[in-house]
Amino acid sequence: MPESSTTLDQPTTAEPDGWLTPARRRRLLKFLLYAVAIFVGLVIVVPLSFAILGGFRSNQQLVAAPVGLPDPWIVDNYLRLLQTSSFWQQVFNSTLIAVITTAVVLPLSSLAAFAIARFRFRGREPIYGLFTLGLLFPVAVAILPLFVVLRQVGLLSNPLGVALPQAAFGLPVAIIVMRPFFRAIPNELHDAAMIDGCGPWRFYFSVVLPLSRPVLSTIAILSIVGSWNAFLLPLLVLIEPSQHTLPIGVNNISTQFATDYATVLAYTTLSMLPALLFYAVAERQIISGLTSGAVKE
Amino acid sequence: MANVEFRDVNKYYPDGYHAITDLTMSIDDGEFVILVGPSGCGKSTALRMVAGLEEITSGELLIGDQVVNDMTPKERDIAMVFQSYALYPHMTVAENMGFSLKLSKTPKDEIDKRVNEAADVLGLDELLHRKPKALSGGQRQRVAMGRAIVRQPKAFLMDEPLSNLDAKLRVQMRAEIAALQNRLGVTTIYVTHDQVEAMTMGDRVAVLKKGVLSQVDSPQALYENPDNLFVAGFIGSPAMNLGVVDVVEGSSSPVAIKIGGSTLDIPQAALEKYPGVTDRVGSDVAVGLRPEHFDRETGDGVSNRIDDLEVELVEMLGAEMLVHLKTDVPPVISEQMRAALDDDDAFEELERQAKAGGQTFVARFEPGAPPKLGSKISVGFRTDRAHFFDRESGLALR
Repeated sequence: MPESSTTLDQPTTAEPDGWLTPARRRRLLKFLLYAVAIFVGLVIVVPLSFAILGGFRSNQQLVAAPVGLPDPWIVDNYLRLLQTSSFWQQVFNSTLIAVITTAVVLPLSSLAAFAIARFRFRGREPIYGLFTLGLLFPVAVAILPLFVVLRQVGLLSNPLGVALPQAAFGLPVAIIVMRPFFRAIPNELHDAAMIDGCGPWRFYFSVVLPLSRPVLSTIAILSIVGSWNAFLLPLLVLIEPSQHTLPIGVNNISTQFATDYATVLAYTTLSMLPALLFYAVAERQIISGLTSGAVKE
Repeated sequence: MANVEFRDVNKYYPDGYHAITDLTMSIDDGEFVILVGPSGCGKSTALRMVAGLEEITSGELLIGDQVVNDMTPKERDIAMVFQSYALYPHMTVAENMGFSLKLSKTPKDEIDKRVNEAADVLGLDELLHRKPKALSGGQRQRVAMGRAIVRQPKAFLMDEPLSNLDAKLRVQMRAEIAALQNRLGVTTIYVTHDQVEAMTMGDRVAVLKKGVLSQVDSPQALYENPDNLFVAGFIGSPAMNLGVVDVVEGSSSPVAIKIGGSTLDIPQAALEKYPGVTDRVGSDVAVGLRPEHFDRETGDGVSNRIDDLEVELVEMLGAEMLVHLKTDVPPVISEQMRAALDDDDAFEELERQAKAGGQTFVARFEPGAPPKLGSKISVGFRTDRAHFFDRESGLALR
């Protein structure tokens, strides 16, 4: 594309004296774009690969040269961790909480967004505004009253004590992402469904949900990954070590074996792995979910 | 199958807009009725009220002699075809067509049977397992028709179903829908703004203007006997030439009209159709002249001669020739004409011409040697086919 447009534009728009011809301008912009993209990529890739590769090194190697490739490669760190029962217990706990969170967020947020997007009722906008306000409250801000409430209802030391508040805090984003998506479903489709004999529920289940797969998977992924990485809330709520999730496990191990860098790095890597894999598989869905609905088909 | 009846139906939108005013019309069982009118005339609203997608503010709507005002679309047992087809993107053609049957808990083999029958009729057999995305516009249109057919409903409602198709396909689908309706014999209400669809497809045409039913009749009757200026101006393409002329006493007839320097005697046949004209001698009327009633040859005894018309434009259309002729006949400037034109720019042009004191008439001739641009020619007009209206009320002078 750059070649063809260069030849097209140069004779007509290039200033004879200026060094910044359109062609050069485009090249400069492209260079800047790549520079920024590479920088952002490095910010993510460097620590990640440091953790992954560090897990394959020994502590001696790490002390001798903090940055460097494993030589020789040591798989023992990973294998040892994979054989501990506490690691698998934490994988199970993290998975359970992530699944419950998502199972609560998806139906509730999609129903709320469906009602807000497709029905006219008194107080619709204020209710939507209330959900938007929810965006302004991170869990950390509400942690103290939340803890008190959880203690009163007896949800401390219970996976639900983490999953339910997480779901509640996940609802605003989910609703705000879904509403425009549901709005973009053409009115004629709604009319056609009514004439075919759908009520609102049937329309929701048979037409809206199947058409919303991209946005539903986006929300599912956001909430699974969010739950997977959550630290503060599980730390406060889950008191029994057998209930701990992976981030708490990472934290424990890094305080417990403060000098065993290799083990800590291997543990961190393993705890990230499921979320990373999941994200890699679902990445296409996320992209289409975040952008679809913006443009009419 | 059933008849459909509107009884004094009114529709007010929440913002107070009066979309339908006192609509009374009955559609017989098996009849094909076209609702036509300029944009915003309420034709789609009327259709959506039959479907149950719009509430009826007052009056009664009956389907099969049963008042359905408070029934949901589902309970009314009607099928609708939408302009955008409104196919479910995530379902195959077969699923789209069978969806309503599935919802009504029809047994699976019965659904398959009906879907296959409809697919057969519409030539969709090969496409049953495709998604709408993989279909062409014409095929989607057919699926939308199929969805309506499989239900065997009391009535078909169609909301401009052909307007998203290209011109060639539209002609083909027009004929197909008309033939299909004829074969199935299902009561059909069809909304369009297309002249040709209105004239060719239906048993009767209902012309709406600003929510008021202007006239309902067979297409040919509407064309030949418009009740008012609006229908006269709206039905027909190119449109009827409408202008204000003086009425005088004729030489061979009690009534004549003046166009330019020419006086055209109005024969008895026209006076029998429009007896009101005789009272207008010495005053003026709005006259309507269809383009095809002009004659290239003059003086054959049937036609009256109009002299000194300047040729402004000639359009050779192969099978016919349209000649635009400059006249001194002022156009009729009224609300009805504005509605009939359905185009504010065209109406402004008409107003401009009115100020200049004349307007352009369009005459349709057999193709032949075109007259020279700018030259002045004489043409004949078959005055027995002229239409007469009151210029104020716009009503035909019957």
